[in-house]
Amino acid sequence: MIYKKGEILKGNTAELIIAALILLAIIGFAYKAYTIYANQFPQQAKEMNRVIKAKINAINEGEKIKFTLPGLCIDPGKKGGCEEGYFVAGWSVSNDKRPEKCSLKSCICICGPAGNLDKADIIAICQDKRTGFCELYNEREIKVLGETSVFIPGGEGGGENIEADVNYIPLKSNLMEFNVEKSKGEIILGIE
Amino acid sequence: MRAGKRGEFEASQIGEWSLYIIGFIIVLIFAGAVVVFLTQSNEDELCKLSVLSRATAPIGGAQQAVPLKCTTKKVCFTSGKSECREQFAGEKKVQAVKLPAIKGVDDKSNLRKAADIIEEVSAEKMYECWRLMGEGKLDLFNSFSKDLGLNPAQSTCVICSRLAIDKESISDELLEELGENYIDINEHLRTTPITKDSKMTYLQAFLDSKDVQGFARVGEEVFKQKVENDLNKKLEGDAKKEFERIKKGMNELEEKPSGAETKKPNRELAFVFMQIKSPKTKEVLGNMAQTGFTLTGTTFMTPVVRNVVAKLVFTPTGGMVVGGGALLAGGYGAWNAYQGQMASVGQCGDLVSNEKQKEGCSILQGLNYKKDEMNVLCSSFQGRLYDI
Repeated sequence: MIYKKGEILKGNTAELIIAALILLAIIGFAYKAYTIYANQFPQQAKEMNRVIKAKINAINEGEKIKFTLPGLCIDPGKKGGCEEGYFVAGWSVSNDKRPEKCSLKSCICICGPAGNLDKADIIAICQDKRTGFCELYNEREIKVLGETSVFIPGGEGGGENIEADVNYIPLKSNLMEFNVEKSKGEIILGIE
Repeated sequence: MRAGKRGEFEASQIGEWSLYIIGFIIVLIFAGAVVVFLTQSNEDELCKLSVLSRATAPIGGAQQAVPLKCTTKKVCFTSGKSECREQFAGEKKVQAVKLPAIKGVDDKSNLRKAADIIEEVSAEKMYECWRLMGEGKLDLFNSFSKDLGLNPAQSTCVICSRLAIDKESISDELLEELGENYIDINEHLRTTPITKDSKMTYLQAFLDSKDVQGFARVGEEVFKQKVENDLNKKLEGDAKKEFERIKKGMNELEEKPSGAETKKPNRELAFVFMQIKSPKTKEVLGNMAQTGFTLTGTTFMTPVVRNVVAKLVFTPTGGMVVGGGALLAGGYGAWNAYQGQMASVGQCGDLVSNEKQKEGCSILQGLNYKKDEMNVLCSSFQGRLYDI
């Protein structure tokens, strides 16, 4: 059967509109699902920052407490386990070598992923708005007790920052026990 | 008929359009109602809804995109104004449960009252968790990678509740006395109805059967041996690795129980819901039945004899070792003794999913709230641990 121009559309306008709406809804749902999945790290990192800050704010000078945090696991079914390369790092306001986003305060950041944490440009990773999420603190000094990363500009990983040693706590996928202490205006964050 | 008179054509079109518009409005109202429900409903309703949404997500990978809106509940047993600062500092929505002031180890009446309260709250929280998580029958932890066939059998957990005993209200000595000589959670589950008006006990409600009167005597060593033999023959690859990881962790904790260094009783425990995909569930059930588990249909419960390290072994593709009750070494100290006698409830069978039927095992377990113990059982955690 040969249709004249526009004849197919004539009686089916409503069906076409409905089909377009359904298609739009499906695309919308898929996009929403993707953004929720893609935003899992920012969400988990912000949540982690909130908990750490709440615990720090809850303790008094000279006090030390422990608390448990679930590590990061963006996709629990991933082969070989959850993602690695995420970490917690912190900088004092007195430290010149720190992410610019910490502006005029001390900060604790949840960042990642980084390939080789021992030599990664941790400051650059935490400065990047997609890979670093920081919480600012009024305390002058922040000390993170963990492993040390030594970044050498031009070396493995590259980057623009000058040579810097940064202490960091690598995040696991399961539960981690942190301890936090306030002593003489200094915040000390470590793991058990 | 499209080729009618001009007026006739328009009338049918208007009718059709009206139907579409009405339909669209109904869909909008429904969507609006869902949004209102989500924003106004309480935590439990939200959690239950997110659990159901996950299990019925149209494609497996979409499960990860549906956030599990379950927040860990916090309970502080206290006899004073102090509310478990050591455990819950800076945390919101901590439920304070009042215990009577106990004067000493000879104050039997108040020790009994405190034990009753702890038993009842524990049973309530355990049952609440089991119900919210779909009684272990729903597939909750699928992922993008699993859809691609990359899934190593890994256990995923939700911490439903944390229960702590306030340090200033109950001394270590009293806690030891309570845990060793007063609290009997198994008996409480066996004899206490789930509500005042109900004729069903917690045990019967967990197993969904009024015929069950008590826990069966478990031939745990026979069970362990039987399943370990099966595992050695059948497991390979990632599944074998996961099994060995858990087994190694359990052995280490058995040799060096957590809390042993500090010689202080653990004051906090958690009810943890764990799920693992397990295509060999029929064998698990067979093994359980043969070794005397309290088993109805696909659900089971295990009591644990005090001071006995009970090891139960599941056989998933990913082998899974779960200690029913005293998961990890008889425990150290008083609260641990309480934890050590805790029954566990589980379900092995087909998990409800929108995809093809998937077999798996789920277990609800009371554990010391210590990372080393919980990490043995769980490779990763989901849900919100803090409400801050």
